[in-house]
Amino acid sequence: MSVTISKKMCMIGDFGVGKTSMIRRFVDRQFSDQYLSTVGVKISRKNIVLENSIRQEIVTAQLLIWDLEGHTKFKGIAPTYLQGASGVLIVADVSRSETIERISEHIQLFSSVNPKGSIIIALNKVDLIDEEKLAILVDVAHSIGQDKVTAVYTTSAKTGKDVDEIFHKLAYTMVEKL
Amino acid sequence: MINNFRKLLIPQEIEYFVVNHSCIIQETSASVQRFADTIGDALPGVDARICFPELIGIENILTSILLGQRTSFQVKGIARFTDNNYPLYFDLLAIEHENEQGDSSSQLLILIEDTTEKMVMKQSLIQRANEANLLVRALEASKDYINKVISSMGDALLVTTTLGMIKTVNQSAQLLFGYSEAEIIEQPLSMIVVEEKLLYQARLEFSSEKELGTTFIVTIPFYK
Repeated sequence: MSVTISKKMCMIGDFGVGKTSMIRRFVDRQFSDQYLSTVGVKISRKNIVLENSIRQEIVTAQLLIWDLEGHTKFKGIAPTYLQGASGVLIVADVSRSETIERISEHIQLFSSVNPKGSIIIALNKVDLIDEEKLAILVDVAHSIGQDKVTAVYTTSAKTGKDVDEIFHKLAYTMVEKL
Repeated sequence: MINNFRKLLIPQEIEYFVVNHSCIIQETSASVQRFADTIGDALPGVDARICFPELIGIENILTSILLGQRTSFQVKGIARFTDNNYPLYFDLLAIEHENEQGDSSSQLLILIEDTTEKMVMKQSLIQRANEANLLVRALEASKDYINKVISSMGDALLVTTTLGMIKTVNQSAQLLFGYSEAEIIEQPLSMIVVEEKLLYQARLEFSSEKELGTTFIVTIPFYK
């Protein structure tokens, strides 16, 4: 028995933290250094097989990944885009501390729209800082997330570090909440 | 589709499709295919969620419109492109559909408005604003780094105008000359360096290799 489950998930975070680059790495297996800011929303699809699902049958998750326009000081994230999402990846840039400080704001926004949605934090661009500093930031992210966050990953869309893993983790969490 | 309503949509360049309670397409306008995620699939009898994945996840919201619990649902600025050179953006609005007799018929009308021109302009503005913001951030970080180097360096460092007014002084210079920063800033260099020869040499160095706008830098090796 096999079953396909479609799930809407969102990518949110400040502008320029690498949301689009993470999707490009995960979906198209590509990376570009060129910064192209997202406006509105772009939806990508990706099917992944969840081999170790707690369900009896083979589960294929069809992820509908909503790449949302990043938060700026002039414009926040529109809650309309978040409606119906089963999960979210909140992305921050480890080389810009203000993007980490704003994680709690993003958690609050997503939870207010989807109280039962899964939340995972991506500390992206880890190729830009040393491990010592990164360890401190991971602790900060854990303390911000508290009980609402399923996991914190350190990622790099440039090198591919933990990009597949974070999407798979969110897919498992969303499907197993059914 | 009510004919008069259809006539209203044409000049606005608004396309539409009608779905039933199971999201199956019942009727479409002529050019709605242009906005479909998989071109050619937006046809009557097809599940609208295949060609418009924006509808996945919001089935409950669509049902609440059919039940009259909600008037509409809108998603603005949806990008539909694989090639950045040919962008396509649209707004999607779901409302209850009324049949020719004006009765609601458990169907939804999905209106699609092309907003490419507006969104491309917006993208260009946001791109510039965000790039400027990132540049300011990088400059701040660079300034912070340089300040740390200057304040912690062992040599005494003074930055003055060409007329010899002190603008910047580091920690080592304050220790060496016994003045605080507040006491020394905007004071003439002759206040602490009385030897005319030294000043002359510093000016010579400035003119030959250390020019920084209208200021010059004096560094004095500091041996404790």
